[in-house]
Amino acid sequence: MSQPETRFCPIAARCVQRHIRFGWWSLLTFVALGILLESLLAYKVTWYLGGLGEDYENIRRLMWRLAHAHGTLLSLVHLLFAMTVHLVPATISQRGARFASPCFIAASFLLPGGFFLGGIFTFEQNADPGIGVFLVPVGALMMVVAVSLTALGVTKASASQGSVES
Amino acid sequence: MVSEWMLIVILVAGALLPITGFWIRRPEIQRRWSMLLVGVWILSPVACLLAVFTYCGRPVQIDELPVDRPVQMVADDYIGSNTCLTCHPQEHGSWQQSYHRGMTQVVSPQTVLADFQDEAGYDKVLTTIDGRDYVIGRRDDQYLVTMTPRGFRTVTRPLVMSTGSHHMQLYWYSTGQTRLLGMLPFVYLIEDQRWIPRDAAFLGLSGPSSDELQRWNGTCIRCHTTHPRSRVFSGTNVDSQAAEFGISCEACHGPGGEHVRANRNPLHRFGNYLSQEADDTIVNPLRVDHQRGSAICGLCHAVSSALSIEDATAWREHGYKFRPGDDLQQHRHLLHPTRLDDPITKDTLKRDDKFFESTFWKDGVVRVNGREYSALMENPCFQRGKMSCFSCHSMHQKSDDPRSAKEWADDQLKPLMRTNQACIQCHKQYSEPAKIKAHTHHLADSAGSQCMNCHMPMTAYGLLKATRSHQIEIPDVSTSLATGRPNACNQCHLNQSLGWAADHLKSWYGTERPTELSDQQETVSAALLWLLQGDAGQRALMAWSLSWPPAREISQADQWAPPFLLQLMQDPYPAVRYIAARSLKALPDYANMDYDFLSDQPQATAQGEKLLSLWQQRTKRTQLQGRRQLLMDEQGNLDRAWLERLLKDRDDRRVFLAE
Repeated sequence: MSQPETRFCPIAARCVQRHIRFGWWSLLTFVALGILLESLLAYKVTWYLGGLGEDYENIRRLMWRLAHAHGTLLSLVHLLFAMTVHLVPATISQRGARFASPCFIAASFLLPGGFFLGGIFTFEQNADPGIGVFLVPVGALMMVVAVSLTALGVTKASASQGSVES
Repeated sequence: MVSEWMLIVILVAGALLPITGFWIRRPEIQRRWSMLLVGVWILSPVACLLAVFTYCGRPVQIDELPVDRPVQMVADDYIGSNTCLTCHPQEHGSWQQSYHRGMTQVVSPQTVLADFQDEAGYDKVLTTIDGRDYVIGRRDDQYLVTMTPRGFRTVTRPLVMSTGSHHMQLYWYSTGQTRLLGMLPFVYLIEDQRWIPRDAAFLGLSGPSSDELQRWNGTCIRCHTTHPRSRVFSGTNVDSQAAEFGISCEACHGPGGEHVRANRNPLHRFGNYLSQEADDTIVNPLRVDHQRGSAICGLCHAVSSALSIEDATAWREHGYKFRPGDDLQQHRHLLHPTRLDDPITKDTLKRDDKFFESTFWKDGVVRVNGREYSALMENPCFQRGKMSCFSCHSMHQKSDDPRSAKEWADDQLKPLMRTNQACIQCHKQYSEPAKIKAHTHHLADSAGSQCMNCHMPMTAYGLLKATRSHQIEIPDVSTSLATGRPNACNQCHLNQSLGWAADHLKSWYGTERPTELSDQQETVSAALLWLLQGDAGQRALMAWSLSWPPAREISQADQWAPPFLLQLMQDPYPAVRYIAARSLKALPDYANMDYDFLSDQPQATAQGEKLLSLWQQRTKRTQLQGRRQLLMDEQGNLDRAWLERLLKDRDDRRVFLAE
């Protein structure tokens, strides 16, 4: 196996640093959110757990759990992306592929942020999330773009590395 | 402070900064862009947290309290059922399905079950028995009644509250004078989908119709709400409040404030789980002794009165001092016709000498629906055993209960409690079919071997039907003679006489045969004697019994019952007429009959004659030939002269049953 070559590629090195920093701080944020949610559960906080007598699950609780889950997993995705770029720097050799990086960061704002916001402000006494939830599909689109660009970048990089080695 | 849109802008900025930065070439601008991104990244969670503290913890915005109707207002540590939902969603869910919940509701399109428009889509006109018109209608989400109270001009008032959601629904209008309500003098029958005058829905002779001002504020509020405070200070100075409309969690478990405060602490909760001890911050009716547990139901399901005038005055302002788990008799005086000597009973009878007649049979067995605790208390199983309301009833449907929620909610019985399992819980000797058969002298799987059919017969009246007596008794003809209460044998074997029942009870159980049976009682069907000669309550029970499936089958009532039901369809009491017509409609050939129990007497008589000739045409005479106990002559025709003779001795005393 060839050694990682990010030190020879400043763009890749900056990208790795950015996503490692972003990933770990993001992970810290969403782990803290998890602890907050646990505490709300433990202390039976009505505005988090309660509903108003209907069968639907409390929308605030659902939204914030989704925010916590998406935020935490996206943090790990940032670390995974950094590791990928570190191992295969050629992944972002194309300018198009490099666009995956801002897309991942944008998704990290929009996906968990949209869910969380949708749980703070709700409609009809918690029957529906607030309008912040509309950020979620935009974030999901960013995520799809980022993952697609990364997958394409890795594929191309592997192919070009294969042809060089042969 | 932080608004929803501000947060959206921050998050969108956080998303746009890296994307726009992608196209920035100059390194110093890129650096600033990155620093901006870091700033937004830090700002986002901080802003979100600020929003959480600002918006999520604040109390729910409550609309301004209405001033023209009673209101829900928590007090005295009662906190309302929504708080219970947080930790007890399953119990809360099953309570939601119960009819206790909907006993009192604020009128809205979600709670109103009645039809407020006529067939053409116009406002509906309802007419009382004494001919007063009320026009009811709906404007958007508001329900209105236009009426002309006696001596006043025509007014339109909003209907603001409703009572009931199972069999009937009644409506109350705002008088516009403080929180005083008036009653729309009509009842909507839910199953029939029909409005009827209120006087026709209860067993009593109708007088001038009345809007019964203050009835809700002074009486209904007692049992149809949780922690009621009547606060009727004078005729129109009324400020009625309740912790919650309907019978909710805290009606049975007591005020929940302390329980909620204690259990917000997870250590307290888990301490309770691990110790498996009862949480002493709330009452669980199943964990207190059977007498105090049943007394919780008894607060409303008993014939009782205040202990004193001071007690009644204090109740009016502050509500009941009784809390679930307390000894009910420390807070309420339980009235019973076998205890006539106590001063409160004497005082009650001084005010109303017919008081006991409206609720009890002569021997003190409860005669009306809804007073089951008064009956339960007289049972040896309760006095010497551990039988309680919860032996058979369950206020929450268990998750493994295979029945639908609707089926459970009808009487809120535990599974199988309509079968012999109810009694076999203690009387295990009757779990073997052979022993049941030997005891009942009926086939083990027949209706005659159902414990309740003999020991809890259908002798209580309410809601236009017969219901089970909750005073467990042994069938006895002497008791029937002394009290007029149908015994179980004759209520099922509708075609047999009291003499026949007495013979069987003597030969099977050695029960002493009464000596004072008249010739008629020896020979004529007891059911027909009660039906033709009984008081209005007895007639209503017999009208109902003639369509009770086990009795219909064993008595072959379909053949001979129609002329007697037709007789009851001309009864002076509208409720009796209604029940008789319903029973007749349950018989083949009569399902589509054209009869209205509220129609004028001549019209009803003509309709009765028409239906009688229909019965004469369709019934095989040979099957009824010579059946004198059913008033049939040798040709199998109804002996109308005999029927008229019996009718002359009808007990026409005024009856009002206070269900």
